[in-house]
Amino acid sequence: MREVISINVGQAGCQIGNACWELYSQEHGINPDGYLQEGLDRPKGGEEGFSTFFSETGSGKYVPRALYVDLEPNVIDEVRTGVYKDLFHPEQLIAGKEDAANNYARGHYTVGREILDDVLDRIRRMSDQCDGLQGFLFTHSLGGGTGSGLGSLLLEQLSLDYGKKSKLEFAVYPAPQVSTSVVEPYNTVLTTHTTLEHADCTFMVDNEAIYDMCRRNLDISRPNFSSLNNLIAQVVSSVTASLRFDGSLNVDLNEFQTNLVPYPRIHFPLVSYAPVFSKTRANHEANSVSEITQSCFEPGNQMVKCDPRSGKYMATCLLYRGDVVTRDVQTAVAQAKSKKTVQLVDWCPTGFKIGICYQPPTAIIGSELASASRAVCMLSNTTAIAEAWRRIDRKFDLMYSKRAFVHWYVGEGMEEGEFTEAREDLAALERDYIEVGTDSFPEEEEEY
Amino acid sequence: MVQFHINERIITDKKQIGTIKYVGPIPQWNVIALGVEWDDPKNGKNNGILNGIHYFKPRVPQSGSFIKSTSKKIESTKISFVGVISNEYLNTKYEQSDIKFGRKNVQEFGWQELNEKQSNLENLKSLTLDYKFISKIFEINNDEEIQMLKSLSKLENLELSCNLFEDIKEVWILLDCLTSLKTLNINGNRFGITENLPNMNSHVTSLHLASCIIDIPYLNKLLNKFPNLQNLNIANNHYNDSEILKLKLPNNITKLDLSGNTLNNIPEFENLKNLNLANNNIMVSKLLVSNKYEALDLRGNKISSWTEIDLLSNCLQSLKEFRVNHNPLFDIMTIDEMTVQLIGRFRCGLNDLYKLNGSFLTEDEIENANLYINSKIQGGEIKVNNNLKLQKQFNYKNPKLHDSHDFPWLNLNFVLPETGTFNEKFLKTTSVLKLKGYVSRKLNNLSILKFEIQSKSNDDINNHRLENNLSTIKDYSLENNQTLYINFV
Repeated sequence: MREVISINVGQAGCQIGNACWELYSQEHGINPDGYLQEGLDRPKGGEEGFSTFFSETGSGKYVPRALYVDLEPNVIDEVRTGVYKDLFHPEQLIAGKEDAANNYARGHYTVGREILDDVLDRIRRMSDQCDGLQGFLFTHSLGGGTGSGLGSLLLEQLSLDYGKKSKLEFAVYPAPQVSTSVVEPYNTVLTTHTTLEHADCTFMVDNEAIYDMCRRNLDISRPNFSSLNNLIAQVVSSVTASLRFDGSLNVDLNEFQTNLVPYPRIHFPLVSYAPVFSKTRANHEANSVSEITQSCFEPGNQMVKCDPRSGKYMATCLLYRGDVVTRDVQTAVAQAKSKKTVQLVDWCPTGFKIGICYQPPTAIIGSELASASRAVCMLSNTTAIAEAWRRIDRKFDLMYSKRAFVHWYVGEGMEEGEFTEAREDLAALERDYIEVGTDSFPEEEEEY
Repeated sequence: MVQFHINERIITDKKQIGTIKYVGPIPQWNVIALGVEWDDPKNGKNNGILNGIHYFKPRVPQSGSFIKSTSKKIESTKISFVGVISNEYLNTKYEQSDIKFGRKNVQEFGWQELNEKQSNLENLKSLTLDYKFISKIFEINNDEEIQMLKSLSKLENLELSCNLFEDIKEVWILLDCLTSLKTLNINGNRFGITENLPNMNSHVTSLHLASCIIDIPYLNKLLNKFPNLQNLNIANNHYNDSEILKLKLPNNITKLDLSGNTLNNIPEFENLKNLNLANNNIMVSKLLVSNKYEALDLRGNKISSWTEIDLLSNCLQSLKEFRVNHNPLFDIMTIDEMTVQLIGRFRCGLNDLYKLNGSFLTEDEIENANLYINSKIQGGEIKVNNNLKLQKQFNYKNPKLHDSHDFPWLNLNFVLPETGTFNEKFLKTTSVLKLKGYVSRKLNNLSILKFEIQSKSNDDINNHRLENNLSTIKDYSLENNQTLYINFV
């Protein structure tokens, strides 16, 4: 009844989409060919939750409500020939012929425009199949050409065509370790400016943070995109678990917004996930509720590199999965509170929510991540995430002060004014974060 | 005053678990002392010896220490399995907690439903009860408790690591009642030994016995009861090579975790596909006889030369996943260097090694690595002679037939029809034309068109004629001291 359409744009978006759908199918008991696993008479996790992400065909086959869009055929061809090729309908995979060459302008104006009508048409057809569409879930990168350019173009169009529907994003924040181009700061700033008023809630995933997690926690000596994407998929799955399974908190897309977004522009919650450890270490690591709760508040388990102790929390949702009992969770939260690392802003009446999803997490086959019987995913809107914007703005300024690489964008018909406009918008965003972080009343003498 | 007995398991407020090995006086204290063998040797201070007096002997050296029996550190609460179930799952009335962050209450969603759901034990598929101070299964062993245990009929996954069981027969009670159990985790329990194991065949497919220190003969007896076992974890059990030789695995086991033991050699098991040997003391000194391993983890061992890696590459023909980082060999090189050399030395690809040190290999990576290795071999920095894959790749011949390999010349013998022989040294880069010129001079300036040279005698069907005047003699892969036959036409 409450369908969600996932739209994966660009190379990063499509690859993360692959990892995610692989995990979703495993979690719901669907084989790579789209049929139910042996011994099941219906998908795991309840009919209603399941139908938000999958549709059923007449023959009993399940098809993801997903769309893959890329301007070049390579990644989409991998889907077409990969293990999960039968899961998707060919109509769901749209590939252009000419790539965006890491250029926002090509994705947004020249090459991306050509494919736009086709994509919107497919989205229209998919939404026609839904009884009550709740919204869209975007997955794209901020640094790539297609992800940033075409991604923002689609978001703009969708808010024109489907004004009231929620649009949530998973956005991959660029990192030098796995970077492919130097113009990533330009693309990031430009796309953030364009989507700031169109996306309702954006979960950022910093490749650098994921990369460090792979090296430190999973002991992968040289993480590549597939290692990063497997971990990202696990996190995305935890965020969407409450939509897909019986749960209690954030059960629909609107609820994410109401719980986490106090102002439309301040819509970048920080995601933390625990436990992340490798199979060998699983023998020694205790995995108690209080330990996984505590690790959620540590920078090492965050998806974006920033220090939440330097900022304030506007809202926090802790979503537990799997094997937990109420009493343990209450004790764990009380302990987290006593550590005094969590500082909430005073102007927000509610702030700290804990929920449960009964379905335990599933380990992706071939992933280094050890399977855990319980996990917790924390979504928190903290002012510390402004650090990420400050970092990318600084890189932008370094290049833009000399107008380096700008000709590539101007050559595609963009005006230089758009750069300055975007940069000013980001500066305003940084200021917004400072403003919401300051207390509205003078500090009271109170025990925290 | 709490009474303690030998082999009793205790836990401290810092979650350190140990076994009491001595109860009695020591001269230094006027209260009863407890000699404790700690599960984690780091908590120990000695070998059970104080001032030259032997009180007890811990199984792991330096894991013993003495504490006062009146110590406040020892948690005195012990509970039974059914006790935990009834406390945490059955008799729970949901109460909203009143935790506050500043002035804001923590809001809880769905916990009441969770309690209701969990209070029906038949709903439970997975139970995680680590560090719950469980020392036995039943409190009083009445019908009600047995019924409670039987109602966990759908339980598939049970985690009981780091509890205080004293006897392994308690586990048997569980296995008897929990008929759908698939995964049992009893890591970090040190069991006393009951010799007579009950007759039963368990359905459990995955058994975790890490840091339980069960000796091998007893473990073999245990494993007899698990004919369906596929996955066994016996990490951190202080096993050495000779002990592991005695280990008898059930037939179906494909995955074995032996990390954190003290092995020096790679053990071999039939049928096993996936072997974890991380954090042992392994050095590779010989080829393995069986080569069925598809996944091998050798992190944190003592591999210190590429020769060892080459040996592995030669014998592990079906290897698909391999981890070998954190070995002394790689300390001196960058991660990239390590990765590239490993890819170069193993057969990589979709049907061969496809996952190295935790990441899937891409075709580009493999191609780049092979090119890099190629350049290193040609530069003489890497020797191919120990590695079968590289030998094959570079058409490398057995060095015995090729002892002139290091010299740039060849000694060639010429045989004339009926009239005798002569020999001469030639550079390998000598052209055939020049060779013929030399022969021509030997034959009183006979025109080179009047004779031909063969690398094999006339009788040989495959006689190779040296025809192409512009090619070098190297191209005809002549060997040192090879005989060439001259025929007049």
